[in-house]
Amino acid sequence: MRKKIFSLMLAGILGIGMLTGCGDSAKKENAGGTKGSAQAEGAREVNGIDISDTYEATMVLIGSQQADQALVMERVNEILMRDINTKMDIVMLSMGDFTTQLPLMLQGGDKVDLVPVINSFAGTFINNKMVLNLSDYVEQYGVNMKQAFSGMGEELLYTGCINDFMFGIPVVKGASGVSSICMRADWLAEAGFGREDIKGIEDMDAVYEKVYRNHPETVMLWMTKGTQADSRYEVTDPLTDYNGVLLNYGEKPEVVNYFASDAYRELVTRHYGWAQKGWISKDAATTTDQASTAVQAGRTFSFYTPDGPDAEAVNSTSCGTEMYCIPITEGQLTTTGYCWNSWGIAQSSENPERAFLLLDYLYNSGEVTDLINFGIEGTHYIVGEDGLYHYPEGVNVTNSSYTFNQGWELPNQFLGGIWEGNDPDLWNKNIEATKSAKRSCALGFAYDSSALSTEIAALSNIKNQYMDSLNTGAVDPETELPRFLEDLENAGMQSVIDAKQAQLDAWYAAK
Amino acid sequence: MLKTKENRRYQLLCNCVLTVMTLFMIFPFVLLFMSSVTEENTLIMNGYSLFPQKFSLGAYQYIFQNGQKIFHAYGVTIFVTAAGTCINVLMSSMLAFGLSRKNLPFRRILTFYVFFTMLFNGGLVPSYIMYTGTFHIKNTIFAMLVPNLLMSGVNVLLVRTYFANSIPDALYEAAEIDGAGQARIYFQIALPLGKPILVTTGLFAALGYWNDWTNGLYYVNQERYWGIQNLLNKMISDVQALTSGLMSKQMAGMLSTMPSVSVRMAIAFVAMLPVLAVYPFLQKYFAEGIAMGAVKG
Repeated sequence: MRKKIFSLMLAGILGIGMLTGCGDSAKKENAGGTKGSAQAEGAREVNGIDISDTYEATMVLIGSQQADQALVMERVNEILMRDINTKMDIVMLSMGDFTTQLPLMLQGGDKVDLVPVINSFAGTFINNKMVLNLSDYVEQYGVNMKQAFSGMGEELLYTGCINDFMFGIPVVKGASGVSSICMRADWLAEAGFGREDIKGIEDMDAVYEKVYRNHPETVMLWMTKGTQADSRYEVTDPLTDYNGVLLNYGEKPEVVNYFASDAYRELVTRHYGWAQKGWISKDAATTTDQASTAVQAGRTFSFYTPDGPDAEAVNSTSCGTEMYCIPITEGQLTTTGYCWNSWGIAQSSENPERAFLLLDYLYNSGEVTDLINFGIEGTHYIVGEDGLYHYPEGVNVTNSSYTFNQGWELPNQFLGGIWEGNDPDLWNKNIEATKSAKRSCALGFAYDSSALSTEIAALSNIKNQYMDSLNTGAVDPETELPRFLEDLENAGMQSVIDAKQAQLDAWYAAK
Repeated sequence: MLKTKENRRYQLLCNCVLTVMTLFMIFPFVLLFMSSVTEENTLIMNGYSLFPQKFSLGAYQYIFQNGQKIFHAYGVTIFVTAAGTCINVLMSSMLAFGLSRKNLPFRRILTFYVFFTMLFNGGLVPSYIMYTGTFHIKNTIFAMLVPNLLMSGVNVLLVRTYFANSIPDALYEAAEIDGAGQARIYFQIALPLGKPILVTTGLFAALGYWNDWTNGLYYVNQERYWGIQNLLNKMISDVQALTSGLMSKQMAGMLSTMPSVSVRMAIAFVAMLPVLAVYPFLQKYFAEGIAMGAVKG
C-alpha cells in the first residue's frame, strides 16, 4: 500500500513537471508568431525578410554592466527601430562567468538571440543544440557581412564552421598571430641597442646578457602561469587546441604532434637556458601577476605579447613607460586565430531570421557600434581634432558612466571610432596586416572534437601538468620533454591526430 | 585525572599535534591579511610574505574610497543572510515539528520525501529551467534567496530528531489536555525548547548564505543583486580567465581594469571578517546541537 502511494506521488510529480514543460514550449511557439505590434505603414522588407512586426531581440555581450546602459540602449533602439524595426536588449555577462552562464541560458531556454561563440566551445554548443546552423542564412540574407569581409578576403567569413555547420559569423578584425617581444625602450637604449638590432628571437640572447648586467636584480623575460609559449609565439596552425597542428604557419595539410616537433623543443630548450641564467623568474610557472604590473614595479625587462598595429601603444600605456614591441614571427591567418570569437544565433531565438537581420545590420553600422562601445557622443566621449575618441572634460575611466570599450567582440569594430592612445589609422593597418599575413592551408577548417572528448580532456590534463613548467624553463627539457610526450601518447594524442587528419583530408577534398 | 608522568607526556603530545594543526589553519588567514596590507609593488617584487618589507593600507583605502560597489554587495549579502536564515529556520522547524509528531498521517512517507532530497536533485539545467521558467526568479533578489539554500533536508531531519527525542511526549500531551492547538504547541513549547538545535541549523543556514556564490553565478547577471562573494568570485575568475590562455589575446586590454592583487586580498579579508568575528561565540552551539540532533530516534 505504502509503496503504491509513493509511486503514485512520484508519478504525479513527474506528470506535473511534464505538463509545465509542455505548456511552456507551447506558449513560446505561440509567442514567436504573434509577438510585437503591427507597424502602421504595412509590410516592410529588408534583405528579403519581412519586418512589419517589431521584433525584440536580446544580445549577450561579455563585459561589465554600465551605469548608463539603459540610456545608451535607448539611442541604439531609435536607430534600430528606424532601420529594421527591431528593439535590442543587451545582457552583459562577466568574462569569468559567461562560460557557465551562457550555456545555462541557452539550454534553459532563456530568450536570447545573438550570442558570442568562442571557438573552443563551438563543438559543445553544436552538440547540445544551443546554436543554429547559419550557412543558409548567410547565403540568403548576409548582405552586409559579405561586404564587410570583402576587403580582406571573403573566405574569412566562413571560418566559423565545423563539418558544414556554421556556428557563428566571425567578428571583423585583423590577422592575429604575429608574436612580438615587448621590452622597455629605456633599458634597451641603456644597454646600447636599438630597435633595429633585433630581427628575431635569436638576437635576444645578446640583449638580455647586457641588460641583465645593468639590472641584475630583475628578470629579463616575464612569463606567467598559462602563458603557453605557443600561444604567444605562434609559428603553427594550432587547429583549435594544439592537439595535432600544422607546422610552419600551416604550409601543408599534414597534422603532426607539435610537442614532438623541433620547433617546440627549440623553444623550451631556449627558455630553459634563459631560466638557468636567471633571466626568467623561478616562479614563472605559478605566478599570475601580469607582465604590465611587473614592468611597472620595475621587476622585468620584457615579455611576449601578441602583436598588432596597436600593440606598442597599448603596452606603453598599461606599463606606464615606453615599450617597443618587436615582431619575432610573421603574421598568420588560421581558423583558430581568426574565428576565436564569433556571433551565433541561439536555438531558442523566437525569430532567427530577424535575429540574423539584426546581426547583419550590426556588420554595417558604425553608429550602433560606437554607441555600444563608447556610449553617447558628447556625454560619454568626444571626438578630438585628430579623429580619436576621448573622454569629455572631467570624465575619466573611474567616474565614467559608460566605458564598455570592448570593440574586439563587436561584429565590426572597423566601422567604429578609435580610442585615444591608438594609431588613428589602426583599422587600415589591420586590414593591410591581414592581407599580407601567411594563410594556413587549413584556413576555414575546424575539426569536430565531439567524438574525442575523453581524449581531449585527458590531453589537457597532461598539458596542464607539464606545459607551464616546460614553457617557463623551470625544468630540464632533456628529461621532462620525453616524459611529457610519453604521457601525451598514452592519453591518446595519436588518435586525435588521426581523427584530425581524416577530417582535414575530407575537408580538403570537398574544397 | 592523575598527574602521572605518562599522562603528562600524553598531554604534551596531544597539545603539540593540535598546535601544529591549528597553525595550519591559521596560517592562510594570516597570510591573506598580511598580503592585503603589503604594498602592491613589494608584493610583485617579493611575492607573498608574512613579514613584508613595506606596509601599506592602500588597498583598504581603495575599498573605502571607491567601494560603493563593494558596500552595496556587502549590504546584499547581509540582507540575504539575515532574511534567508530567518525563513530557513522557520520553515525547517515547522516541517520538522510536523514530522516529529507521531500521530501525523503518512509520517514515514513524508519523512522519506524529505530524506530523498538529500540524495537526489534535478541537476543544474532542469533546476535552472524550473527557477527561471516557472518561478521567474532570474535577476531578482529571490534568486539569491530561494535556490538550494532556503531549506535543506539535513537541517529538517536534525531538528526533527531533536524535537522527537529531547522533548518528552508527555509535555505535548499535557499541552493538548490544557487545550493548546498545534500552532500554540509549536510556538510555545517546541520552539523555546528547541533553541540549541535551532541555533545550530540557523548557523548552518547563515554560513551557507554568507558563503554562497553559485546562486549569483547561475541566476543573476545584474550586479546590483550580487553579494560580496559574487563580486570576489567575479574578480578572481576574470583574472583567471584572462591568464588561463582560454581567453587568449583578445582580452589582454581588459587587464588594466582589474583590481590589483592586494585589493583582491583586502576584499577577501573584508568578506570573511564578520564570520571570523561571530564564529567563536557561537561555536559551542555547533558541537552541542549537532551531537544532540544526530542521535537517531
